[in-house]
Amino acid sequence: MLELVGGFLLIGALAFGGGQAALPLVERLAVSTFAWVTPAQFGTAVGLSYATPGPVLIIAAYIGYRAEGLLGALAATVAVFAVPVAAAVGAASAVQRLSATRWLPALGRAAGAAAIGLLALTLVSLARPVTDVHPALLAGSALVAVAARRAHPLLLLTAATLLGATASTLTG
Amino acid sequence: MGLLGLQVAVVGLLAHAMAGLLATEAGTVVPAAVAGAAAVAGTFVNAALVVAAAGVAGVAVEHFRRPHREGESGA
Repeated sequence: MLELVGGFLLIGALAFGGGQAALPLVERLAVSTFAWVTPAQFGTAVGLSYATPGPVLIIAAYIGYRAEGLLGALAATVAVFAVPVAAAVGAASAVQRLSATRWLPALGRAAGAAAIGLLALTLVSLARPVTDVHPALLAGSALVAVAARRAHPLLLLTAATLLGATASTLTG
Repeated sequence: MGLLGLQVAVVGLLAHAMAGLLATEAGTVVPAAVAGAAAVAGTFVNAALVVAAAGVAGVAVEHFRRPHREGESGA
């Protein structure tokens, strides 16, 4: 439980660039380091975090649940949002002052850019369970990536899930 | 197997999100280089360490550039 809380506190503190940019940190921690979820389960968790209202980092609830049950879900969710909330509410004036300096925006820009680079690794990790089934399935992913410019993610996730379930039923 | 469709869509959505983030947050040479370096470093080093190190490097670069940019707000 301590690892879960400590890990998600760290993720919250380093989530520059938003929840999606923090996904690589979550993936490394939850899949590679502590093996709370498998790569396929992580993919499902990302899907659920897209499908539910609110920020993507709500993925902490799913991973916490897989790791430590209901209490783990609650602890991980509180932990991942604790530092950003504390920074925004508790030290709002200090953050405002620091934002006027050069170093905090510089830190945010560089850390955010690094997080985007790491997102490529997460993408590869998420694609692996898909390509293990059949590499051609990535064409479906490409189609979703293009369609996401116009369609709502929830619609795409629902359609893809239904399509996948139908195909799975038909192929036995 | 039943959730394969969801996983396929997640990969696509994440690729879309990454393309968007690259365009908005790393659209110029330096941030793009940082992103590329982080992707390489992330295969060998802990991801949290990579993000933290990039942040510190960003602060250091800004610190050394400071004398040349006196009077700017930094926003």
